[in-house]
Amino acid sequence: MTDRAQPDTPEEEILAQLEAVSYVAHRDACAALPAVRAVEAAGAARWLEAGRELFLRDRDAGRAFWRGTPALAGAFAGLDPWLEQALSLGRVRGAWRAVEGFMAQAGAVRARWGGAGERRWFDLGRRWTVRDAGAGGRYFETPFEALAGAGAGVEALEALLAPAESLGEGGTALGAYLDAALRLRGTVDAGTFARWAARGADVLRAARTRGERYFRLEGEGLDSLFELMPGFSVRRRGRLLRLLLEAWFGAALPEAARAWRESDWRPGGGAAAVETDGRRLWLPAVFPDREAAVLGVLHAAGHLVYGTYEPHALAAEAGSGGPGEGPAEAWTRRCASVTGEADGRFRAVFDLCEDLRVDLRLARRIPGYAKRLQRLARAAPRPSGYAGRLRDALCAGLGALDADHPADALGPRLAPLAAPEATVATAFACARAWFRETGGPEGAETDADGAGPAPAAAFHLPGRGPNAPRPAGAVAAAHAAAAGAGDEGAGEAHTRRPAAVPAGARAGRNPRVESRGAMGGSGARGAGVGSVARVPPSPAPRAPRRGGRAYPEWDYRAQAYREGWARVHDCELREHDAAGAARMWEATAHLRRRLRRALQRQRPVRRAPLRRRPDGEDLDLDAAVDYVVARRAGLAPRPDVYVRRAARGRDTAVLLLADLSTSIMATTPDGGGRVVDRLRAALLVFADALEEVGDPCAVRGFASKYHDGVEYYRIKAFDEPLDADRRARIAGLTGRLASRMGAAIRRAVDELRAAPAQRRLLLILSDGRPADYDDGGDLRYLHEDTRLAMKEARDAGIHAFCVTLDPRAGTYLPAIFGVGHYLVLEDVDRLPQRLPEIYLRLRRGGAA
Amino acid sequence: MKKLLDRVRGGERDAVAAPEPGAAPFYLPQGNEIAVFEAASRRRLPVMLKGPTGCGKTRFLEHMAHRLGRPLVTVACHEDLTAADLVGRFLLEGDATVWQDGPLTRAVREGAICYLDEIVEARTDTTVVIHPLTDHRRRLPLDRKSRVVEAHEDFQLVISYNPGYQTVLKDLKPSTKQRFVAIAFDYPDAAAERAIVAQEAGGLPAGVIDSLVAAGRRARRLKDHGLEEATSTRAMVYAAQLMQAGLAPAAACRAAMVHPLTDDPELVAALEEIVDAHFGPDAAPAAPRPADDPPA
Repeated sequence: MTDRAQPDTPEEEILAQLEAVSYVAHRDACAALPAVRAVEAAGAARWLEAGRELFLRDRDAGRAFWRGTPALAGAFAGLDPWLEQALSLGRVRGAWRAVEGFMAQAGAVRARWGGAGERRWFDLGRRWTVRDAGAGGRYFETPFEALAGAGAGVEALEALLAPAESLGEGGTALGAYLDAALRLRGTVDAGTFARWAARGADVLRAARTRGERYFRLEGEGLDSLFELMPGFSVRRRGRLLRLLLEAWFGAALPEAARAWRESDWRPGGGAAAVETDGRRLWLPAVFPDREAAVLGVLHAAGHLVYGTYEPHALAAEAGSGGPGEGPAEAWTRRCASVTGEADGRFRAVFDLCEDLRVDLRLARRIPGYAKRLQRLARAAPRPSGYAGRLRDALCAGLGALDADHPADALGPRLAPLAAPEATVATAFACARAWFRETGGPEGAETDADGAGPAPAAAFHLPGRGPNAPRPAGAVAAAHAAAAGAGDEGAGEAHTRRPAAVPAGARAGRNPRVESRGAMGGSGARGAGVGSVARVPPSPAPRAPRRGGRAYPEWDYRAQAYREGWARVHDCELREHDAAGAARMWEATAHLRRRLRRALQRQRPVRRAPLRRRPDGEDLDLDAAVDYVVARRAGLAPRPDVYVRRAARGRDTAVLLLADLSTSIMATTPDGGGRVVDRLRAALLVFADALEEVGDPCAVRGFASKYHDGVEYYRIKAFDEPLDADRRARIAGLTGRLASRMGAAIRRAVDELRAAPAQRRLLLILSDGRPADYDDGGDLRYLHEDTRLAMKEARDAGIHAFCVTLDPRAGTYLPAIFGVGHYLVLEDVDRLPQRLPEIYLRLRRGGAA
Repeated sequence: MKKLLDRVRGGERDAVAAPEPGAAPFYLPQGNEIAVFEAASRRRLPVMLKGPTGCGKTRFLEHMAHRLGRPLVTVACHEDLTAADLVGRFLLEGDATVWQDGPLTRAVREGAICYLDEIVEARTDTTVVIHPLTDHRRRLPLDRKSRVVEAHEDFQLVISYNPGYQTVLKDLKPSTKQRFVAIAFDYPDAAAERAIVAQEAGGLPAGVIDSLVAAGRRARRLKDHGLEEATSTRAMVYAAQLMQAGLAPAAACRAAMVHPLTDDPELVAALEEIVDAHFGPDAAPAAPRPADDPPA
């Protein structure tokens, strides 16, 4: 070991100490020291001291400090205030990312916003860092201009973060909030965002993980955003679009296209537009407005009806691909056949021509379409560059829609599109000729920013998007999501596709930082209520199940019943949970008491007049005349000449049929429990209330696996009291298998027929669409069967009603049960309370 | 003079009266229904008119009664209509009782066409009363009087029913249905519907009638999608008459073809979209006549 000279200044002492600890730190410090001396010679010791403290606390923070110093010293022309700022950040445990981001950006912030602006930027970040180091890191490493928005000042930044102040010590939720805020800015207006964030703050206070999920825009967070967003909500008003498709296209539109799904479009993920795979439609949850929604859906349906995606339509133009080529690949290859590569520009020109062709046909089919479309095009902001030229060409083309001679109005280049026999091949040929000649629409405007496919595609009108079919993968993911958000598959579908974050916000990220994963768990599952996952038909042969009662099943494809196809087996529930029942009995005591009082108070008193009674309040005039006449005629009639207005006795039998498929085991959307718990409570409370009121009530459950394995569970029969044993059965309910609803309804109708009452109500509790293992993914099959089963029930004089927990039920239940015969309970927690209301409603409307 | 007074006061006339002179009420044949009815009428066979609401059943019968020169007695059936309401009953008059014929009995005696509209709505005992009138016996028993009325040779029984909206529980019994000659009606085709609307609301420009009928037929497609009853020809005629009376076309369609049909907000919105497409500010008045179903 060599002898060293004793350090004689504090600076040398610190440097020596650093050298002993880390070669790199010493080297970095020495490298930055001249820059510090240059601006503030006396501060070198202070600077070294701060650096040492940072380095000893966290090596990464220290390193960032040394390396960032020359730039900051220059930018601030001194050591203040950034030295103190860096140090105060570094003193927060685990805040090395914040220090790193701060050191990298502080100079630029000062240059842009001045000293006061820099201080406000820092104060905001420090507050976040103190609350959560990870969120602080996210704040400081995000380019400040991205945070504030292009060209905006520090005020915009403060406004962006203001709603987060109410999040409290939210931990990682702050990071998620920041992500969401950046993602939603520009697509969601400030008011909506503030309301959404406020709701999220409430959720966060109630349950931390739920809140974090909320801000990651998963499940509840996304639903809430869709609910709050202005515009046309497909979830709420999708039926209108369906009705319009029916009215304008009818049978010309394939059935698959009328049963659309929700696409995985998210705010911030580009414009909301209809997508298709050439067979079905995918709609975003929210359109910017009703006009964009209606015209966008009609246009997309027009593509399907007028053969844009005919598999062989373009074979002559662009050759056919190899076997197994999907529609999306075929589309790409055809576009590439013109330019040699998948050029977004040619795609856009092709889209333009094909859109015009379809719009011309639609304008002939739908009166007023041309004018509406022209107005939409006028109102939509014009994009710049190449897309702007495309938009101009489109608007010019749309002007021809209602011309007397569209072909003349379109000009020679596009005239072939107006011919009645034009196909997608015509559009392709037009586009190719145009593209090869002039590269598409020409204009004086520069197209510096028009090179990539995305900018070129920006020419599309609101609600419309590129015509390329969705790739198969996206289809599958959306399919899984549509099948039900409750099961794990759908949860993955939510998280599998990374959220699109504006490029600017991601640019400043350090990949190494990402890998350290300081931002908390990312494997959260989307929670929700849905039906069973779709299972393809099992290839393995299966021994048919015998026994049980055979019921017919409606096959819409054959438009006929399959006699004896469904087999329903009456089963006993093995699970009993006496302890659970006692707990539930206790827990629901208050609710049950309230409910009984309410039922008694609201007891329907229909005072239907009973005519020709021997006694009563009023004379029955007709009967009295008949009586007098008969007496005069010398007969001896019975003096039944009164009208009685007595309340009719309660003579209603209710059969509660609960869907016990696997999906009820899912957690409730708010993450606060499982659906099955609410279901048990609801059954118990309802059966108890009816018992108290005196109406005969039976409770049944059903589940199914294959058409011959529909199980119909005895929970409580009409003549059985709700004793401890029955309560234990209800408390022991669990979810299993799938839900073949039609067969179960037929079985229940059979049982109701024998019910000891004149009015018979069938109340179905469901949490998803009818589905089974062997329906081959054909949603419509069991829908249609259930619809027919409902019709049979009605024909048998049984009033049926469905209460569902599936928020998407509005898309299929009206068709199955009819308007006014179902109710979507958006809040599972309210199931026990809501059931009696429904009961009263049914009693009023029940078939006499 | 009497006609003028009737018009001022709201005139009252006997239920069984010969058709008024003049042209028969307008009816545009859709098929061979006139031939079928005339044949049935010659042989005095009872007739059943089947078809959806507002497709022209009643108008057809008015037309035929006029054409055949027979009185027409129409009874709109409802759920409280009893056999006594049809056949007749004893009434008190001073110290005596008098028998008062019901509309059916009068038609039977005086040789009119008795039209029981929406027969399924009536109580089931009424259908029993008409049985002896519908076969070779052609007689009406008056139980309370212990008498039987033999039908006048010109008497003919006609019932109508709409197979759509009543439940199976309320349907006519097959034994009742079998006693009738049935004529099935449906909404006329587009050309006929245009002619009907043009006739009923004369003076409207052809373009307006074209659009009106196109909109109505378009809306008809929403039946079975929540719309219980499809847009009827009668609704189109009403809309046309409202337009004739000076109402703006879109408002007339709303009043006659949208709101009477449904209370469901989404359905109303969809129907209004259809009306606006044809009559809204964007509708091109000179648009070519839209084809019914352009080939896809």
